[in-house]
Amino acid sequence: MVVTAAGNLGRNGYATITSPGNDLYAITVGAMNTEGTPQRSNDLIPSYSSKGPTWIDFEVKPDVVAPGNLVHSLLVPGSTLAKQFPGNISSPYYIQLSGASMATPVVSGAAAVLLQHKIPAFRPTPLRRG
Amino acid sequence: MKTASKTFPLTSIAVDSNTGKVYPSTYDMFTVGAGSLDIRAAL
Repeated sequence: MVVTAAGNLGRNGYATITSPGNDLYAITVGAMNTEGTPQRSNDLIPSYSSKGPTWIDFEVKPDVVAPGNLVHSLLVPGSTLAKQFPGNISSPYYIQLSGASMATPVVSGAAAVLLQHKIPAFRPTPLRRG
Repeated sequence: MKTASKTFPLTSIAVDSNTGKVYPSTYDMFTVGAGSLDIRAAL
């Protein structure tokens, strides 16, 4: 099972999902902004989240969207990320970042749970189409 | 996909605070796909 980010070229308009997000057999994930609340009623798609159809072969994607705006994630102190985005560091070992790359692990984890509970012998297409 | 929801507005507008440029979004299938992931519904 391959889960990949749609990309962050949404401000350039449609057909901004490029490789590897344009792979037919991958689950392609766009970013979503939860506005910092658990309710779905105020969820938005950030302008940077890449939009389909896919570049070159016009496949309908992204497949799903997941929280990807100002997501807290682990940080290695002194790392390149820490140096490039010091304003995003929320505690010594955590940083807030935005993008489809932050949304993709949410779906990877969900896919792992689904595979563990629902589909013992998996292939990419059935889960994506399910 | 049966296990995703589409509780989104039809459109939204984002404004870049640095440049002032406006980015309108339409929430169609090329923007949200099947919708937001609903793992609880899937299980």
